[in-house]
Amino acid sequence: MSINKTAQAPRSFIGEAFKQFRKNRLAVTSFILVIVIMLLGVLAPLIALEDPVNPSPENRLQPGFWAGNFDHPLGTDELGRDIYSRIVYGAQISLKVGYTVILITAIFGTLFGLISAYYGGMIDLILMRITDIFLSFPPLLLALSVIAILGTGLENAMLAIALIYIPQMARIVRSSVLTVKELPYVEASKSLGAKNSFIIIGHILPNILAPSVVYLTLLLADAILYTSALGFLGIGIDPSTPEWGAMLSKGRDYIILGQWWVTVFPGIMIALTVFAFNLLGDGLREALDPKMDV
Amino acid sequence: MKSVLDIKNLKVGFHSDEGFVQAVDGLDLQIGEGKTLGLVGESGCGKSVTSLSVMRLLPEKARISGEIGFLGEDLLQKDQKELERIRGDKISMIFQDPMTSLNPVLTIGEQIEEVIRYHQGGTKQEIRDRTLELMDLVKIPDSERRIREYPHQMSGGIRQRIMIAMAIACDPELLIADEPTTALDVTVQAQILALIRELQEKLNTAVLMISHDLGVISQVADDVAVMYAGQVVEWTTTEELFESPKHPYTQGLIRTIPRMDEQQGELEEIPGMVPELSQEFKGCRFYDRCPKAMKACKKADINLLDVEQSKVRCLLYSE
Amino acid sequence: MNILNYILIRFLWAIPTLLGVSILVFLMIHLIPGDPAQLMLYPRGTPEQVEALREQLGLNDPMAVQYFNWLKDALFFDFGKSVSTGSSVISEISSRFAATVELALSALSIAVVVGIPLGVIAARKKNSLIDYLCITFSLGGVSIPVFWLGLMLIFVFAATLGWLPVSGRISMDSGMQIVTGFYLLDALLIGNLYAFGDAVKHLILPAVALSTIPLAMVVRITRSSMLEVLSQDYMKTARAKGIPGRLIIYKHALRNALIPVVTVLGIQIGSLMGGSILTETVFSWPGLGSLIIDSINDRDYPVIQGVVFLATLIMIVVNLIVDVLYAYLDPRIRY
Repeated sequence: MSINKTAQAPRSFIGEAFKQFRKNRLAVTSFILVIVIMLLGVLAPLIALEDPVNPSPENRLQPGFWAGNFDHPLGTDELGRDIYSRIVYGAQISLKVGYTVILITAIFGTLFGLISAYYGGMIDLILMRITDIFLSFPPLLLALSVIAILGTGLENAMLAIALIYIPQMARIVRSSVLTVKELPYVEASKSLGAKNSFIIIGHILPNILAPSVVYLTLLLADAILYTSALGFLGIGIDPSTPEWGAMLSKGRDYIILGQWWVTVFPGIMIALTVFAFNLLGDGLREALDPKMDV
Repeated sequence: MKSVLDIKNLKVGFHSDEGFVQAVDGLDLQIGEGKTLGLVGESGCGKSVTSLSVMRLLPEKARISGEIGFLGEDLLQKDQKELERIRGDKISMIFQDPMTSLNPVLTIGEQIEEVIRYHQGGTKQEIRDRTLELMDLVKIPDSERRIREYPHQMSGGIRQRIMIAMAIACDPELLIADEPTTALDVTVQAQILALIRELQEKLNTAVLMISHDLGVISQVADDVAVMYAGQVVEWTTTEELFESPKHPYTQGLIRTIPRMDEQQGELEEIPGMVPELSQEFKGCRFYDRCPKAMKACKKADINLLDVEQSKVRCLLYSE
Repeated sequence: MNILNYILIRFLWAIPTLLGVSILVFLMIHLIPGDPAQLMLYPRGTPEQVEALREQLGLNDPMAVQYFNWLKDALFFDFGKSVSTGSSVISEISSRFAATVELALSALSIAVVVGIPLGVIAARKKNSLIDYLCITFSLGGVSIPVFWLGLMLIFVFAATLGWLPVSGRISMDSGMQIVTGFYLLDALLIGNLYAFGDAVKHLILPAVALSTIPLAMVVRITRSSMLEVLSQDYMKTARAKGIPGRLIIYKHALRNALIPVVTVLGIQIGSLMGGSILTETVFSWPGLGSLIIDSINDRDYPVIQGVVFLATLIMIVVNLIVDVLYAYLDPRIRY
């Protein structure tokens, strides 16, 4: 239904979606939260107090503002690095990883999905069997395997995480295309002799936009969660990187000793960021297509 | 004659986005033992709300007042526990769409059996025998096999027969049928109506038949009440209604029935729209659409008037 | 067409998928840039040792031969020998398998036993305080990183309050004897109630941490599908039949509402395994999760291959079971 609507009146549909979105107070809050986190990342070099990587052993494990320490408002970690500064730079890393992952996923997922749906037949069958195979791995294990093969490094970690989602994205694109393909005006356009490329660009891509945008937003939340998981495990991401998950990896040793700030603040940032993107995705889903469900 | 159902001054309203909606506004109806009353009107006139009020199945937010007398007791005074004992046992109901009214994950045997199990009890075998008997009664072929099957394996007609079997399982005093044939094919419609008629005579059950279709009503009902905008505008015997319809709305409705037997020009319709029920009414609610409207019609609310054997809510008959 | 055919078809579909998985897992060792044998022995391997390992891993044979040999062995759960410990991969796996299953099943039970009633209550009391709490929890629950939650639980209940142990499966002095590897079961089998209590204490925090995401999902899906079901015509029919309220919810509504819940639980198995890796790391739980992390750090590829293949096999089997369960719940699928 809504796909139909998009096609017939794209402008008013977007207007309507915007109105819907604005009505949803949670979605607006999450949108503001996302903007704030983005600003943290972008402005990191300006608002950070110290270098996020260089250790300063004389400042190890100092408590923060609650102990009157305003030089290090969120305290310092086991190597004496300022936690607030690391968190700010961490926003940069999380968002960078997140966006790279969805970019890779969007490009390859859309490509495979389009090919599969548009050409059908053997090509479709083979591609879908391949997605089946990838989807049958537990996601984190798939990512860990890829890193085990390619070796550690942020780039490899991003690739590994993207590999989790490309098959799902391909499926979503494929099924939206199949739905759109059967719509009367696409049939009509075909019967009028429109070129395949025109049909894909003119009719099909605009229609798969809504489900893709929603999926990619929710995926961003997931990707940030997986990045932090890899950071926490110390696999794929160098422990000195100011990545939120990596900041927690030694946390247990210190939390038992009562030095909770090493762990608490980066964790809150992960949860908050993931929560914001999840809410944003839900809000977009409701705005773009109330009927679409998990 | 003893009346099974005796509704007095029933009012039902809801709060909605458009404000308070008075869906039923001062309704009086009676159904005698073993009689069939047809309740007819356009969609939104309050006929389904009336039937759900009798079942007490309206959403909790509904404001309901008046009196629904059933075998001398007021249903509006009953609590949930008492109502559960009455529903399905003494009053039962058949719904419009048999495709969605049966639970998709339970066998049809189970869906009929549970009514008997809950209201009458008995051993497993007794209940099963009674269920098969009911399925034969509503003429479901091959009941031994069907009893183990699921709703999606059956046609709409068979499903509606199952609904009927469930409804008559406990030999109810009152059967409410809300548009029981609307969702069915025309050929199946006639069979289902004939079945309801036949069972009603056999079991001597009073029936409240709700329909927007006067054709359906004419086949099964002894009496007819015509509803418009939450009120009864005409209430009489079926024969009288078709022989000499009194209210201009009834006359309009009858003219809209397509006929086979006589020359008929273009199919007529009643001009205008059903009024919004969220407004305050003064005077006749049919005023805007009535071909015989007079100034006086708008001045004051009109009561049901006795005209010959009919009751009519219209000033044309006031002197 | 009956349920057996349906299961058979599902089963047949799983075979090509499993073959594809086996090819990928097999290829893992060959996709490593450089010589895997050298990499595994790095930095201490002498050229003779490397050659010996190549021979042991069969790396000198043609690729197809290597694959069929690997697959033949893998079907009997023979994944070769661990490079770091020298014992067989399957013995490494089996000594830790029960620990992970015990943890995952406990978490899943919490998710189902707590999540379904919560979802039902939230749906029945829509827009009430408890409904809002459930919605908030189901939104927040999926956003909290499980490893952080684990650390916070340790901070509160182990480090600060001291009620529960920080890590491990059992205390040294509990007198536990391993029979099946499932400690709760073993403690009962040997009749040691103290050990049972001790094992439960160790299980609580990791199980709660691991259950959070599936619990949030179950609450959310149960609530939304229950709301959907409650608005269906057949619910009105059930009430019109005079079926008592509780029976309507648990017999007529819940069975319909559970269908999507089962689907979601099936989808969740994969992330439950991922969550289990993280939880095991946080709590030093000696399961497959810590095994795979150790073997990735040690570049112990036979172990990685074994764990990944087995985990994927389990996931495929669980999905088959979910399909069957689905057919059991929804007769429209069955026929």
